[in-house]
Amino acid sequence: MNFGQIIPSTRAVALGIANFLLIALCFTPTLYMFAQSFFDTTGELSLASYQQLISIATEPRGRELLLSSVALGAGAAVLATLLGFPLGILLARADFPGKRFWRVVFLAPLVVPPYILALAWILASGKAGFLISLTGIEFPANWTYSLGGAIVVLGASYFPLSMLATEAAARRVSGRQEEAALLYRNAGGVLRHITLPLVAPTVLATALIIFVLATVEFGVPGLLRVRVFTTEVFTAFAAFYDFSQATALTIPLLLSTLLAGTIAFLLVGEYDLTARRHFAGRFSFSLGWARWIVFSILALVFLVAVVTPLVSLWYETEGFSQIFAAVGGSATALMNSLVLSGLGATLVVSLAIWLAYGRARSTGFHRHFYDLSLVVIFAVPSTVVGIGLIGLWNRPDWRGAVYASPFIIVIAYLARFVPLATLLLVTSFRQVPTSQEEAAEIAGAGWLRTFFRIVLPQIRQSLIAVWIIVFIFCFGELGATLLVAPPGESTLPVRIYTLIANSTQSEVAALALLQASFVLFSLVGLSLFFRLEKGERGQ
Amino acid sequence: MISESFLHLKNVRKKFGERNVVDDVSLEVAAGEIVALLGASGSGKTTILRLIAGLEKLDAGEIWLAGQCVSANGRNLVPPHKRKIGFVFQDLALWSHLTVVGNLNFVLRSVGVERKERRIRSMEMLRLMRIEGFAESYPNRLSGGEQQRVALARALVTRPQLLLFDEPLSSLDPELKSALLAELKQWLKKLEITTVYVTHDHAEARYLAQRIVKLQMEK
Repeated sequence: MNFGQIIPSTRAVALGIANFLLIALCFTPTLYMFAQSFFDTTGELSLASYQQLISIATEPRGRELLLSSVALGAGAAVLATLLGFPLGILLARADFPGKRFWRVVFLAPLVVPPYILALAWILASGKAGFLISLTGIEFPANWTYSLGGAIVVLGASYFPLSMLATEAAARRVSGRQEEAALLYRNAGGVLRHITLPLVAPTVLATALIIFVLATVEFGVPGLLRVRVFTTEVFTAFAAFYDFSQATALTIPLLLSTLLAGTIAFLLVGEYDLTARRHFAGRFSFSLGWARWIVFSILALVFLVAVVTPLVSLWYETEGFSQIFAAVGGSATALMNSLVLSGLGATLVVSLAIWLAYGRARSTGFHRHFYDLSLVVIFAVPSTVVGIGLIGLWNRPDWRGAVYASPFIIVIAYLARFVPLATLLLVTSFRQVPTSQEEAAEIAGAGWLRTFFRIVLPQIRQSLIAVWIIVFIFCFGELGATLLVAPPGESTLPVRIYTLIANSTQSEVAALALLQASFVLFSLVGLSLFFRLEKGERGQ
Repeated sequence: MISESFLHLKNVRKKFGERNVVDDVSLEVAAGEIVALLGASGSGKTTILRLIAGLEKLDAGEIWLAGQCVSANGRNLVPPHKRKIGFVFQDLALWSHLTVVGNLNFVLRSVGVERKERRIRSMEMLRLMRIEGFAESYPNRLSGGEQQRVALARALVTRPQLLLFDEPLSSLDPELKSALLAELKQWLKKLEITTVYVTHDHAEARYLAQRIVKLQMEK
């Protein structure tokens, strides 16, 4: 008997363990919620959740809920695309100075948690807010506390996604294809007939992803008191402890996530998720005098989406003394956030590197389902993940000890962000040719040694970048943390969220500004890191 | 001053950064002539084609086409789409979101050909290239040789006054390459279009061109 054939290789074991952890940590909370939808509160097999869902859907209250959820998602997707699509095209194809600067500053609304932006807009347009004192114009009272307000905040938060996706898609369009068209049309015609049709699937897919992200967002509608599915799931569970209703309300969210994820994936497929193909892209159109118009538009978007929220937070803090006082009062929450986010980002990336490597080297048709499942799991609402984790970990056995510790927050980070980190890292692993591993193998190096000494060093830059991105996401995580955080183990987002109703505006603004500052410094750090790396490589 | 040649490059220079890619190149091509530009990688062959097409701006010198100065004083006086040029790129640059006939229709529409006429001319050209069966296929579904034919059909269908080829056969296997080369020679002979053909292959240049111009690398 040849034992070599039945003993799995190191690589198979490592990737097997990684995939087991992926399923155990990321998929089980959602699968648990889905499975629970087939049981009633006594544990008997039942379709009560679905009957409850049907009764919710047939009631006027339920229809209103459905309508406002769809309107929030669609409105945010349309607004984000209207802003992000032209900016992405300009960044990819127009000739104007300071592109790097604009790209970085427009990332700010994406990395600052949306509920911080919502809070900033509430404060900015309040009766004694920054906008009124600056302009003297009375804004409609409480406009932020409406569906329209939530759409504006989420549209302004997610437009960088559309911008980045459009720019990336336009850069992937072969410059030669555009040049070939330049022999027959002017630059405008080339843009209209060649570039735009080629980037359209990506723009549409991104709009769908924004639709999902806005639909599953909890912080903004929660803060702006807009009733949508995510807030109702939270209320059903946290306020009434009605697990059955919470599960019933989760079903439409899971289905819409799966549907939108599938359509988005069919539109762009592997091309956008895990491929990085940059062609020679010499085509760019000259703006001429119109660059001043473009500059004015960019400056206006910058003022509205970035400067106004931050200045309004600063305006409400009443100076540095208030910030120091707020930090002093929330030092534990801040420290918890930093430590747990750091630990979370490290564990997320540590697991994602194995998963991403396995995905990058896979060739079968199943890889498409793998990508799709990662996208869908990442888009599962944070409140659903939170309730799923409670159901899985709040048990009288050893899991109860984990559930009672701060480590449950790290598990929530893992559940939410491992799929994202994996998708981000796959592109990097694909840049390392398989032949390099084969050369190491021929030289006698074992797979683990090859992985650590040949493969990983080549994606060092991506590892650091993805760590920073995951840290930013962990640092801003609210929905799942709010549900699973043990008593007395608050993080900064949870502290801000709970203080909104119980503390002074200045304290809340100071903490929100602190949170935004940490995230923005991380973004600047990421940008400087890329610049240094680029310089070192002589590009 | 009006040039008597159909295509005339006068002391053309082009730098990329500090590197002189095209250094004081002059070239005259008569109407209907097929000229091969031969040179090693980095000798500036492709850049010369791109300058002729107006896809790059020259740093110095002049380019005359059909008696008209199209580039001079570091400026493109005539934009690429007004030069009536057919260009077959090294990577073919077929528009992947358009079908084969869509690729041809796009260029015909761009030069103002009526809808009915577009279909007739496209199919005529596809028949000439013996790829009429692939009219409704997307380029990425075709083999390398079929894609070459589509690229050539697209370059020829507008009846350009000048054809530019940038090593169009370099990625093909030897058998397919020699078969296509023979066909290309026949087509060019039949159509009598002024042609500049860039290659690094001596045999290919000798077989196809009436005149060979060798480009030296800058020392």
